[in-house]
Amino acid sequence: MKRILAVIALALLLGGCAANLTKPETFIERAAYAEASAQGYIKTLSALTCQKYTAAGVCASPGRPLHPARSVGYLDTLSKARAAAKIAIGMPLTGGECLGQPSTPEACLALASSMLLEVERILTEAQTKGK
Amino acid sequence: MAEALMLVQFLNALATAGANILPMLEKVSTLIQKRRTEGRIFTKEDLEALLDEGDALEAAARKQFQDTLSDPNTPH
Repeated sequence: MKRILAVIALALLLGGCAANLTKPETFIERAAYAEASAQGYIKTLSALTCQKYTAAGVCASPGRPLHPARSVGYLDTLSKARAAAKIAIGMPLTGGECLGQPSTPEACLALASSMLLEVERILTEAQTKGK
Repeated sequence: MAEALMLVQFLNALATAGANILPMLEKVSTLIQKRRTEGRIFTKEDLEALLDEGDALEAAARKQFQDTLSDPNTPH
């Protein structure tokens, strides 16, 4: 039941957001949206990461549930996603290598998107805990 | 009741994410629309400018995390 509610809420929110955005028509435009999402996730990650701890080792700022060591790992994933999108736009249509694997531009951008979704899931969980 | 509360929490969480992500998406959307109005296309150069901004943002976030990690009060 929880999963169904979550999917409905996500669909409503994303549907509402997407309605106001210019639809991408080219590969470059799709890559730009992927990069914009990655930048939004970096900002969210930064906002959810504790910046200062008390002498007792407790985070001094409420609503920042992530430890910076974990955030470095998530930032590494976002960095890889951004790298994949960069590689995808420079790759010949016939294909090439994407993060060490044989790939096509489409598959490489899809890999970037899947990494972004993975971080989105983690951030959504962290935000719920931080409330 | 617990599920209704969970949904509210979930929507709050997504709204917070939207506060950071939506403006970035809207920025790209506006630029794509501007290019089309000008009778041009969104080019690789436009994307590269966006990527440069992303590189700066990523470097700033990494520095923030490293600075906190190097604070002696930060638990490991």
